[in-house]
Amino acid sequence: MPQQFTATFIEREEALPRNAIVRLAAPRAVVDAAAPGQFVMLHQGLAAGRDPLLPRPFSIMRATRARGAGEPDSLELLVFTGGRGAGRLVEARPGEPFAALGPLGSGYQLGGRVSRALLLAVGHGIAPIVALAEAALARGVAVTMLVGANSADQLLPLPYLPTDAEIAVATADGSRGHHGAVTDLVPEYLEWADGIYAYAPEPVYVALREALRAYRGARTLPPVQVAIERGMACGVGVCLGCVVQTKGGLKTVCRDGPVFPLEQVVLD
Amino acid sequence: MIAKYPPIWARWDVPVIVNLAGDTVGEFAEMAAMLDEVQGVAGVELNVSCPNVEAGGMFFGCDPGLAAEVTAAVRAATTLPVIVKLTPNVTDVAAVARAVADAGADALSLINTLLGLAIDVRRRRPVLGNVTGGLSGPAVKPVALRMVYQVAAAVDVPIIGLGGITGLDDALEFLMAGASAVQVGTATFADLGMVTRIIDDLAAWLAREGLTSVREIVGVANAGRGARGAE
Repeated sequence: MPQQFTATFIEREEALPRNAIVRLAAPRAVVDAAAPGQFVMLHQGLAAGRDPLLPRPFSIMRATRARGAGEPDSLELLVFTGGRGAGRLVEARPGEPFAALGPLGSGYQLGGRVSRALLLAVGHGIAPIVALAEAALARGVAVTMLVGANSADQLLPLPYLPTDAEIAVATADGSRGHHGAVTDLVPEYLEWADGIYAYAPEPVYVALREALRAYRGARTLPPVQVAIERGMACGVGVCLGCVVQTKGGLKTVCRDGPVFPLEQVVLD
Repeated sequence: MIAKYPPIWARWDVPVIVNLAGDTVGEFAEMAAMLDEVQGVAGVELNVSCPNVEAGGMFFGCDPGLAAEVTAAVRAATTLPVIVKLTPNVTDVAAVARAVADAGADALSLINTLLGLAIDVRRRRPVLGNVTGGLSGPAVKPVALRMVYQVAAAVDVPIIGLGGITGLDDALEFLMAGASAVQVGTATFADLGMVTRIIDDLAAWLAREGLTSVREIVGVANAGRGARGAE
């Protein structure tokens, strides 16, 4: 169940240019309830001069119980610090409170039968994909992460990624890993994976769908779950600002999603 | 819906008003009749900012005749208080307000959202799945206040003012423009405690001003209030 809570700022690490990993203390019930693909809404508007007025959704990258006495239970978020949406998160000091709501949304379903998960992340999508990778690894699922970016400096450095996952990288400028689209890497894993999960901009899903359609092997391809991103005002299905057309009718990204079966998503 | 929610509302300390949206006059009347005398339902509010399928998609609330027709049909179908929520997407909001009041509305609420559009330049498509959407929040407050002011001068029924209220001062502006009550929507997304804070702040403000009731300030800034049709 989502709940209102106060998230207390702990620390911020500049993990990438204009992106920081922000760690916030959160109640244990929130940390325990958080599932991969879910997000929290962080409010900062009215108290800070109404800008931004509305809360912003942030994917949960890690939800971690305290490791020792005196340590807080915490959430880690990957925050783009170059825009208005980050608000006070960019300058917050330890102890600063943020009104929050979460965990929200319908995340990835890691079915009990999945034993080899193929995960694909581009850009900011790495945050929820890390959450999914760690949840899968904890259950003994073998994980391969395909990570795409424009250039090497936009890839989340290895220390932030799960150590037990196989990681393959693609960059558009060829500065690291495969020179090209991350979806170019997908075909070689289609004989291997029995679950496919992605968090990327929608054009990547078009390419992913093409890669699946081009498969000529003998297997029945596994189901694919993808996350859709939209601006949100409420995060709980009330304002209908994030509604998208799907093959199953209009759906709210915040409540029915953000994760949908690829075959349900309308890509234009 | 009726089996599930009204019993929950009946246990709450606040009255619950159900907002109705329909495609036809008959649908509005049918829904209002279904809610009549249901425990937990204190009233209905008609969302007339939707297209009338039987009138070629013309928005109920954009035409005084259609707005009056749906109001009268609901009025006849229920004993509940009937509030009609007016759309700002019209040229003459006072004309619609008069038509709806004359057709039997117990109160008017205004404004509904302003029709807007945003384009995602990266995707080169409208941001919203429905292409257009309702603009709300502080940006619409001046428009809402102006319309409340105009309508207060045009009708005798109570007005519920809304549109961009984010605190005590905004609520006072709507009351002084002629609203007897206010609604808060968007600001609740920004601050879940907004409504209770405005209520507390309003009580404290009245006490500081030596006033005993909000009624004493309703319409005080409105030169036309009470002089019906004199705007």
